[in-house]
Amino acid sequence: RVQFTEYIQKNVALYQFRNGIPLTTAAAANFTRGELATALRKNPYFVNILLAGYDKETGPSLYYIDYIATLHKVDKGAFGYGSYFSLSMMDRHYHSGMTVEEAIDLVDKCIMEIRSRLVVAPPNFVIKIVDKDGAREYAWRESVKDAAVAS
Amino acid sequence: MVGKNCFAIASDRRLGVQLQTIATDFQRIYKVHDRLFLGLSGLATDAQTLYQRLVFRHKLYQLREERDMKPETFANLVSAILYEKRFGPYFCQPVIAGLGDEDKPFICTMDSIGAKELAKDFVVAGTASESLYGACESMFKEGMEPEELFETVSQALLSSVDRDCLSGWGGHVYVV
Repeated sequence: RVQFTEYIQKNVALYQFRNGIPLTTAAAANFTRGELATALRKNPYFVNILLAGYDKETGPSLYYIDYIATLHKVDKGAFGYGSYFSLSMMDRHYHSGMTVEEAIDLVDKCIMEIRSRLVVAPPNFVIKIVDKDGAREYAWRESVKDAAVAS
Repeated sequence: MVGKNCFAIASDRRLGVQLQTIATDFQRIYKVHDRLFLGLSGLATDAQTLYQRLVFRHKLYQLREERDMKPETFANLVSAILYEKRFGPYFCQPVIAGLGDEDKPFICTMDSIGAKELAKDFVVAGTASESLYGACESMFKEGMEPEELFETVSQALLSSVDRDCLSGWGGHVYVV
């Protein structure tokens, strides 16, 4: 998983150096899909990706790319077993033009759902935000502070 | 479906992974040029890859021949590209609809390894294909005008996908 995302990261940076302008989110998403699709028939990567980006002209966008290179631009997306609960939560509460506070509130609702409904729920979550000022870690939601305890 | 000097091509809008619906606005029908449309059902990733390859080939053709591809030619191209991957196929079924010379409509569908199926009236593909065959067969009439064709195609699509759990969430209809 780390290998693939680093590979994409470095190639996006390379494009920036070569061409002098940073890749748009749509272009990066299509590039990622192309890489996954080419590898699919030989040596597939088992990575599901949610790619979020902010472009000055088009604003924020979210792309859903699954491990067999299906690309789709979405307003809300989720992967894994928790996706069953999160997607329903988001279907109910999402509307376009939400503020950051409303969005964090929705994410917290999803996290609560996952924590209560999923048997194999992870204890700790990180929330990241991507906007005109770039990508940054916004908050952690931890229920197990010391995750290094061996069980 | 074929009408009088026109055709209609329609698809549903669901993108799903087995039982889970991921999106309800997925575009399955692509415009190759003004008088040629391609619908790709089946595995989404193969549909996207195949579409990109076909647009590439068509653009090269346009540059070389300085005109658009005829629908019959395009169908042969799709068939050849699919059969290239005979032993590792693209898992999608294309539906090709276009207007040939003198506005004569042309439609055909293929299985995933490129076996062409030409028809004079309608062609169907996808998970709901059996019920689509039934609905189209009963609703089809010769020589429909575009407005009537649109109604017929929409009703046939909606009634068939309502009976199939893997299709639905609305439809896109293009009438040319």
